Amino acid sequence: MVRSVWKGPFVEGSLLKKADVARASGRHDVIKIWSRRSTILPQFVGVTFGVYNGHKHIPVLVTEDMVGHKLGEFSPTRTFHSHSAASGGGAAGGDKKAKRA
Amino acid sequence: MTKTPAPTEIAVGRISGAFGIRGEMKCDPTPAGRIVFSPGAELRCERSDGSSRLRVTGVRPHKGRLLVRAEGVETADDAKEYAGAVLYAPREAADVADGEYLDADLTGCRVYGLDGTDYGVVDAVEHYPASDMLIVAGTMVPMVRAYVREIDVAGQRIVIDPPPGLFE
Repeated sequence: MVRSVWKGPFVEGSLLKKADVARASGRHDVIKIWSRRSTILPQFVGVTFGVYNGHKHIPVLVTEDMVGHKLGEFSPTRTFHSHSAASGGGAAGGDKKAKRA
Repeated sequence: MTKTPAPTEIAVGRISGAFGIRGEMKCDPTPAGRIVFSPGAELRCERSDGSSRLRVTGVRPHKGRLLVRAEGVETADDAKEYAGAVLYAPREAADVADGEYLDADLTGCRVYGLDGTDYGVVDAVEHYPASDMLIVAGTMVPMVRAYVREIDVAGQRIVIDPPPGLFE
């Protein structure tokens, strides 16, 4: 969907205020938000948001790569369960790799 | 017969069926499994009727899956016998890079704060778009260097520096 450039990126006003307060105070509390449609601005880098996915708040530490995306992109609302194992619960636990980013 | 693998093994894939008429098997590898499959690999194959050894003789990619050839599996009928089987490899076979860990290695580790606070045990590891998450006592801890300071897999110990409000 196209958005006029003159409007600038959309960010919920309350979210902007909370992020400004967090940055000014130097505290890195998790900021719980419900505004998934807000765009990630450069000044949000380093702030941790708890982005609501309709069920719970997913902690998202904003990095430079995320700027320009919407917050909701990092908090999926659906869980995909594969149809792999006969038991119905995936191939088995401990099969994936986790990376410390 | 037990469905749970021994702790020294990791699941590397599941055979979903036969491919072609020459005994190739369609295999859905797990992310860790993609590094393990290679000709010569010895895997444990667990089927509903028991467990057996499977020696891989050839592997090739096909539409996101792997097509696996194995010793003693020469025809489509042989391959069909393995449909639904789960393959396991020894833990040492999965060689992960620095800063990468298998979910199985992290699950069960005890999590401490910088001040020694005991937060509990890692129940599971979940994978999200922003980062992987350690599930500790129902709380998600992003697996980023800012919060996860030290991971000692051998000692089953993880040291974290959680932001205020994460464990509330």
